[in-house]
Amino acid sequence: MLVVRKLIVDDLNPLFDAQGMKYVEYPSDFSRIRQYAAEILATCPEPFREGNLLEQQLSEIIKNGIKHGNKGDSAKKIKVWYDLRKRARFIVEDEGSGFQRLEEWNDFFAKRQTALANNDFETFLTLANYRGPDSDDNDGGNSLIAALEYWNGGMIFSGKRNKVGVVRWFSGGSGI
Amino acid sequence: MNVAIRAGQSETQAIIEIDGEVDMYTFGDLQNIAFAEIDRPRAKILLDFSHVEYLDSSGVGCVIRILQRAKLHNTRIAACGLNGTPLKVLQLSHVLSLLATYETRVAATTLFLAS
Repeated sequence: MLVVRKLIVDDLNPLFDAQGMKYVEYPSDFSRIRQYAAEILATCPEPFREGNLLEQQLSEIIKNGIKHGNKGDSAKKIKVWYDLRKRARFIVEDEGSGFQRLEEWNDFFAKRQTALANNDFETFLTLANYRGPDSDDNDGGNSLIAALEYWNGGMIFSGKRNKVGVVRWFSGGSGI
Repeated sequence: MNVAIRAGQSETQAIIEIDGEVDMYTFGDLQNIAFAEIDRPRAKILLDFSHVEYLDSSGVGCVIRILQRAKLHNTRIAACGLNGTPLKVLQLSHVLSLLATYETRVAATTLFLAS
């Protein structure tokens, strides 16, 4: 049976409990997204990095907030809470109006995964890119697809949908 | 960050060697070169990722757009040398199954380009 993951909205989810987490905020500067992620992960335990996969996944969440949430408005901040003890956990909040087409994206993803499961690559290719009203030619929804797989402890949106909580557990732990 | 792409020249085939990081800032370079090669047109194009250490969702989207354009021109696309984060990100994005992949350039040359 095909199981398709979904983006979930849950304001009361424990992933939004920021108690004990470190906090940073940045201006919405698209050119510095990877720099922000690198700064946040400066003291990250090596086993969590998995090469540069953690930095890549964190950069995607920050990018979504800066590009789609704050629409690159440098006056708007991207806020990040993080905790790298025992697992990699983040809350990222932007100042935008939220991901209002979340359900539409879930429908797109379900169709895409169904085509993939059926080895229907022609349909899959036509569904390979998600386009919302604010998408540009370079958007495809691929960051969320990979994120649903990568954040193995959950990926939850707030009720306003402008804040996301994620966690990834590691089989070996960090030793911290 | 940099991405250096070299398109090999032959009548029907091209090898695009990607060197560096394919991310939100650089993917356009790869896309432009690949589109130009597809539009020639080429029967087969090999994307050599042996020297790519970073690939993000913009890079994944770029690969998908290359596949979509290749389909219009009946160009076959394959990839070789995928490892580390680029391989993982393509797996997480469920895109790997769309690509013929080979571990090494030698294997791709023998099994894809020469076939």
